[in-house]
Amino acid sequence: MRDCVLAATKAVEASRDELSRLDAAAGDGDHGVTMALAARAVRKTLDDAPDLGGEPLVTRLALAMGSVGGAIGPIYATSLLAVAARMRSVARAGAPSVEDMAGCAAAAESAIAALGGAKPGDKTILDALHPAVKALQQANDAGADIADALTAAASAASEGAAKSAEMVAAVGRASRLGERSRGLADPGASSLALILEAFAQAYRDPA
Amino acid sequence: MATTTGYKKLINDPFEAVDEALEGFVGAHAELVALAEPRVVARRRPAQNKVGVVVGGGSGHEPAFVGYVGLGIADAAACGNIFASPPPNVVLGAIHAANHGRGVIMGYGNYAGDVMNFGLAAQLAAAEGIDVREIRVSDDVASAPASEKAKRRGIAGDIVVFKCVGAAAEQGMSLADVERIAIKSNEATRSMGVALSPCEVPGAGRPTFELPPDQIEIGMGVHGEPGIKRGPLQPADEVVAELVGAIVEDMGDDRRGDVALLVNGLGATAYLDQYIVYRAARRGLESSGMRVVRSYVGEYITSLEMAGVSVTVTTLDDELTSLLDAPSATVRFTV
Repeated sequence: MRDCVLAATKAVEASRDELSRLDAAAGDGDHGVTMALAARAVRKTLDDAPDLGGEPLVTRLALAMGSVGGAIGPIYATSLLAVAARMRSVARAGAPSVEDMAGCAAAAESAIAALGGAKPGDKTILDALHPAVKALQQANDAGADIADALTAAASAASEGAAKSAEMVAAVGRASRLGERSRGLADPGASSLALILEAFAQAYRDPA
Repeated sequence: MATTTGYKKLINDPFEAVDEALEGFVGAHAELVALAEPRVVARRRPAQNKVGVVVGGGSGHEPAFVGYVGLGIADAAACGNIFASPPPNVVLGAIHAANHGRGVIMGYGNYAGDVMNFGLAAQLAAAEGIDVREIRVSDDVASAPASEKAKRRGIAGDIVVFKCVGAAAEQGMSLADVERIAIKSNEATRSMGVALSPCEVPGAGRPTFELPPDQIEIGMGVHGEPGIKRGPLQPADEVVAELVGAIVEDMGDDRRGDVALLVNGLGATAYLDQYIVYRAARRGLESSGMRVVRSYVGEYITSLEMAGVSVTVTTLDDELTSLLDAPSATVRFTV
């Protein structure tokens, strides 16, 4: 998991300008920089606790993401804490299953929906996360292995983020734009898709 | 780290910009303020036996919010990354610095990130037994209709609300009374801005928005959020007439009597222009039957190097007027 997280931080940093561009269109243009700061905090967490893994690491990552503030900090913090809680509740020895991952992703989605009052279709991060949750559940039903499940989830998230371009923002800062928010993908959905793509690729092709 | 910026900025590492600026701020104004902990600027000499006042938000709006820490306004400011709310632990640090046992009120602009982070901090403080209230300033008439005042963004109206709240707390009012003043001053305050050229978040590598050289955007937010109308640059009197017209129309029953007028420069607009804007705004308000009895002109809350101004109008009664006039000694607002 540590390698996947590290890959995600690199993907976020490489896309800083693109994320800022998407955010500038509807918001305040800080998303790329804020996510890069988050990536930096996450990497420091990995460096400070080189032996940490599993649920304790996820909890530490939640605090690292929360430390950047903005809107995205609480969103990632609350969703990762929900993931950690889910991991504790199903704690068992050995590697996680696809079913575990689908459960964790669903817990993250519920936590974000509860925090911000958003639902899929509102042009938020959920428009990437919700399809990813469904893809993980379908992968589990189909008996897919973890690599295929992660790849399917990442693809679904990317498709969802792309589709968010056609949506009208219903919550958050961009919602004040109404129809004018149509046209560009939601920055939060886009960055989550990037993270999941990097995660899946790192799992499939370990460095 | 190299800065890929289209703008000339006197910074070093863009990721260190906020902390370096804060170190400079508390160094320059050490008689008034000190860094209580990273990202928390507090009064050099803490107050006693009063309601604590915390202000805050993202950085990049200097002199907000640190410029309002001191006697008569805020006890502490919580500072986030550029244009991003401070996280809950920083806000909680500011609450601790401001708490003198009579409760704490937090004032901040109404943005999703601030609402979440300050709200989480309030819950953490409540768990410690600190009574925390919040005022989400929502003065920007361009950001939502009057019927949805609670959805509006907070812009330069922040300053009027913080001054009234800070004065009420300094006078020894109870937490409930300070909260009443907070709500009242926010309800009485309306603003609208215009952007002439964009700003650039350090490290973003591009300006926050594009605006052709001959175009302006009416109603643009203090972070460069898109406004309500884009059009050709007009003489100051015509641009201000649009801003004041929208504010006056929104005022409804408040369209009477005495008002305070605040003209705020967004960072790269000359004071010459700001006073021309003030003149036009004052004339517009007076021709609508109001009397401008308190005036403030200058850079109170900026958007990095954005060019433009905002106009803020607060309907006054004797209580709000006396709170605006009450003594204060902060870097940006001294009475």
